Amino acid sequence: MIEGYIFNWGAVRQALPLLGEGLWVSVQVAVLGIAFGLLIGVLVAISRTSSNRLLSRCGLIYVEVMRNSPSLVKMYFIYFGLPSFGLFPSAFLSAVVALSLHNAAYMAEIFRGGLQAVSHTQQEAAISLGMSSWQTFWYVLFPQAFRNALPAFSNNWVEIVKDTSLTSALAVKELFYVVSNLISETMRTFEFLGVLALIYLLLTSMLAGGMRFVESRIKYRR
Amino acid sequence: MTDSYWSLLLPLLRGLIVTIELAGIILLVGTVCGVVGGVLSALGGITLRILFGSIIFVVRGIPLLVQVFIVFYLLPFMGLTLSAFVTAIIALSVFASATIMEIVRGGIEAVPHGQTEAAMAVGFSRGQSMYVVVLPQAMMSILPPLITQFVFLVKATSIISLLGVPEIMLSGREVIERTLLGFEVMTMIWLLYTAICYPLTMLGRHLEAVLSARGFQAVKN
Repeated sequence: MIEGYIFNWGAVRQALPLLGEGLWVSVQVAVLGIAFGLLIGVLVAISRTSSNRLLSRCGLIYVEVMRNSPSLVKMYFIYFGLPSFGLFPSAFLSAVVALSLHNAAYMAEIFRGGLQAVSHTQQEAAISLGMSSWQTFWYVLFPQAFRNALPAFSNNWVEIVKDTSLTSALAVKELFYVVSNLISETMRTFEFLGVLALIYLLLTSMLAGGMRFVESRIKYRR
Repeated sequence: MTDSYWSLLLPLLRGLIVTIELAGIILLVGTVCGVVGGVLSALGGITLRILFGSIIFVVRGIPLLVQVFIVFYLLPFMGLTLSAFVTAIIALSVFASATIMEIVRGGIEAVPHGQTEAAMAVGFSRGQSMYVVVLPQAMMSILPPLITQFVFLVKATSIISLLGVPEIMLSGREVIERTLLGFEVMTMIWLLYTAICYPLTMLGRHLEAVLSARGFQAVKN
């Protein structure tokens, strides 16, 4: 299909340490993005389901403001916008914050779905046992809602792993950035693109497969 | 002051038009190919299923940016030198078609098999029972996730800025480099994207409510 192109994998072999470094940065961005996104997302979901009108309104506004624009907009907003106020976040920090804020909106909606799927009697039972509302949430509602939300979380987390490639726009030295530099240095375009695609495919299918395994274990224990 | 805001906004609006053109073409091509592909894979045999299944596995497992890059490098090697705009449309249309195909297939498979059997029992052919009986029912549950996917695709066009197509994000970056007004420019871009995507999101939610009131279940994307 690619006429006149002779594959030469030597350049890729030489660049393996660089690829490893890039991969490590990508994994860091993804893990931090997932962790903070989950934290913010759960908080937003709680405020979304709150009986306080003001709180639930704020949660809804957060979700709509975040969901209706690309994550790249938030990255640029933080990286190019905050310097107007004398704040100069690093590219890495901007990337992590933007991915967390963006995906928190999705995780909030997912977790809200998980919360709503927990039967109301669970809450009533917990309260009748004398649990405080905090205890009810943390020991009764949260674990069940989290379990319900796990399959959808897994999809979102795969999206985050893929979105780490966008942080190359801020010159975060993650996998995609490293590879596009290597391509312009060595001109071994298709070798590097092939390896890049393979690494991402492995990452995303390992994450999805791992999550499926966790889901099956949890279901089994119940 | 208002004068300078206009001078910021004008290049962005020019970029917005490119974004809307890109998104419009991609949504159209993606929907047509996606529906055809979805019907084919629901009707077709095991080979077609494996073929489409592996396409979707690859398209979903690799970042869109990487896919777009691969298309950008691959097409010239295959003897096709096209403008960045057209290449971007091709790359994003492949992604759009594959993801929409999966939604359509899910919708078709959610229609109880008894419907097809009943249609064939009264003398419809396989194609007729699909077109007359199954597809109209499937469409109902397909619509909400389809619109969610539309919103996703509109947002995904922002990736194309990294390949030098002068859509809204690239215009924004150029204006920022010229004026250093990062906050103002990015706020405008944020608002412009929201102006396109929010009505679509609301439409999706409205449809979902209407359909669930009529007893249809939206397919999970």
